[in-house]
Amino acid sequence: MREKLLTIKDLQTHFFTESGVVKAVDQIDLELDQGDTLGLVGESGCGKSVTALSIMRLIDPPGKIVAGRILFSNQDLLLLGDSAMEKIRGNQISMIFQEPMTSLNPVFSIGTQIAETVRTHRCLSPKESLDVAIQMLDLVKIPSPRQRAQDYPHELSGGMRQRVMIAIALSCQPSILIADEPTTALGVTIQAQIMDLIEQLKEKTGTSVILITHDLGVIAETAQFVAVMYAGKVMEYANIKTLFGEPLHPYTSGLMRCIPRIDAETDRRNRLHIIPGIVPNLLELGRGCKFHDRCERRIAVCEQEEPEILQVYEGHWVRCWRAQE
Amino acid sequence: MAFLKNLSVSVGLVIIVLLFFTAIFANWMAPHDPIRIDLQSKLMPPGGRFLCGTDALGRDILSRIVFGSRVSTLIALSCVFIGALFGVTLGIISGFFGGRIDEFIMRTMDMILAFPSLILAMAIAASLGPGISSAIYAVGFVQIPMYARIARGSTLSVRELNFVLASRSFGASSWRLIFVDILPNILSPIIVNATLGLGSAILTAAGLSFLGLGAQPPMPEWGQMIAEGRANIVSGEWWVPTFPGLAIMATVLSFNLVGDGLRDILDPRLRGRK
Repeated sequence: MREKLLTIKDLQTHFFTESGVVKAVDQIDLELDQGDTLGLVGESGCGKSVTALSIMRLIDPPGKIVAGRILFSNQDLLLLGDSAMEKIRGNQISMIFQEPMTSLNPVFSIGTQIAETVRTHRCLSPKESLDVAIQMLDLVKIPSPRQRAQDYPHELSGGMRQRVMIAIALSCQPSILIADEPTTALGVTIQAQIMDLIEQLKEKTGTSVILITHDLGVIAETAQFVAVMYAGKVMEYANIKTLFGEPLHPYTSGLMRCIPRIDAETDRRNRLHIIPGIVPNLLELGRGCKFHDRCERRIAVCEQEEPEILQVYEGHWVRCWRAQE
Repeated sequence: MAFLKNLSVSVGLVIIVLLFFTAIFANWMAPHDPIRIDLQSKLMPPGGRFLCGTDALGRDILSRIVFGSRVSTLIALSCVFIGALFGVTLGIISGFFGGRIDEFIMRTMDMILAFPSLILAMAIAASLGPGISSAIYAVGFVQIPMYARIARGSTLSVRELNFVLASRSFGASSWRLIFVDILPNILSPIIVNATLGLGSAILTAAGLSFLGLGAQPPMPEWGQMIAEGRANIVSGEWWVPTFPGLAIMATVLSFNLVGDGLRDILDPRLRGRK
């Protein structure tokens, strides 16, 4: 029986704006098993990044985590004080972000920045921490690490900067790495390299990964379990084979149909499939299912009442009236 | 370098270098003893042994100007140091922590700014007693709000940048964020204003000395030399207050030129690089 590394129960993160309360994360339950990659998929604005920031307790006003429990290492992260949380960030749970071009401090060399994080969490001398930094640069496959450690961020390309971010993130051997759209800002070939690197490092260091992306293709290649999010809620949750083999939620199957197929018939009448409509304004949510207005399988009850998320098959959870029939 | 190609900046830089050189090597550069009284030679016009003439006590004005550069340099650097040290600290704390701390600090800065700086400096210097150190504390104090505002503004924008969030995600404490992430990235406007502030400090200190609140005789300080020679303009000995005045003008002008040049260099290039 594998260890449950991270358990999120009933997480609610709301933003109290002048125009009203935005429920960016509205009752989410998630789990991460040791050694797994959990994929968090959804469109922009569905709450995936806010979930990640909530785990890291990096939500600033006007946002607030209003309810829930995040269980990690026998403690509830939401109950920890600031300095206790600082000891966890970068040390036991790390995060990398979407924009590597601006994620590094421009006035220090990359070696210094890696060493800085190492020294924050470990009692090492400057020289020892720099050695660790060079080892990490080697681990993320940056050539000539000893020389490159003295480079400044502006001397590096986007892909290399993201490797540096991964180096910093893994420098203290965290048990969880949260990757928030790590390759969205990078070209496709670099994307492949970075995802491969994360896979290899995952095996080498035993880190478990939460991968946030809007790209189902990336999920298909790397994740073991997937949660599909929409408007702050989890719409479907299953292991990777089941999700791609038999998606139960109309949103999930819609997303998959939208993926352009290279083997589709090239016919002037063949158009790319879309999901009509746009994501709802989180300030003006109705009573029923958040997806009903764009759903091709909706029925009367969908507009009236929001479905709960239910385990329809073993390990396969869906939030949909039609799927629960 | 583009910096040196700009003529006015180069001129400013030359004068500043000359100033610091003179201040350091005053002993070797001054032709006469600046405080030696020689009533035989009083009020002699420029020329011959006394290139800038002598004052009412027969002291060589050029030598007094040379030694005065030491005083002026000391004042300028100390005042900017005090102003920047306290001002930047308060500004960063204000911008970083926000909320009531921000309100409290900024309203205090507003109170200081409400007074005309010379008046406030006079009040402080007068209550501390006459002397150079009083002038330094006073002028340094009135400069604090300027640095606080600049530091706060820059902190507010740097705080929102991605690498600050990244640092937080790696476990940086507030203090580490302030010293490693924010401070090094807000230095440019502070340096520019410090350079301009040097000139302003000299002017204000000269004003205080003119009023008798700063440097005390016989210490040669340009503002004080102007005060002593005020009446001499009327009686025809124009050189007594004029040369110290020119020294002040040249010094402050040079700081302003260099400050402008620095601003041109530092800002657009930063925007381009990032």
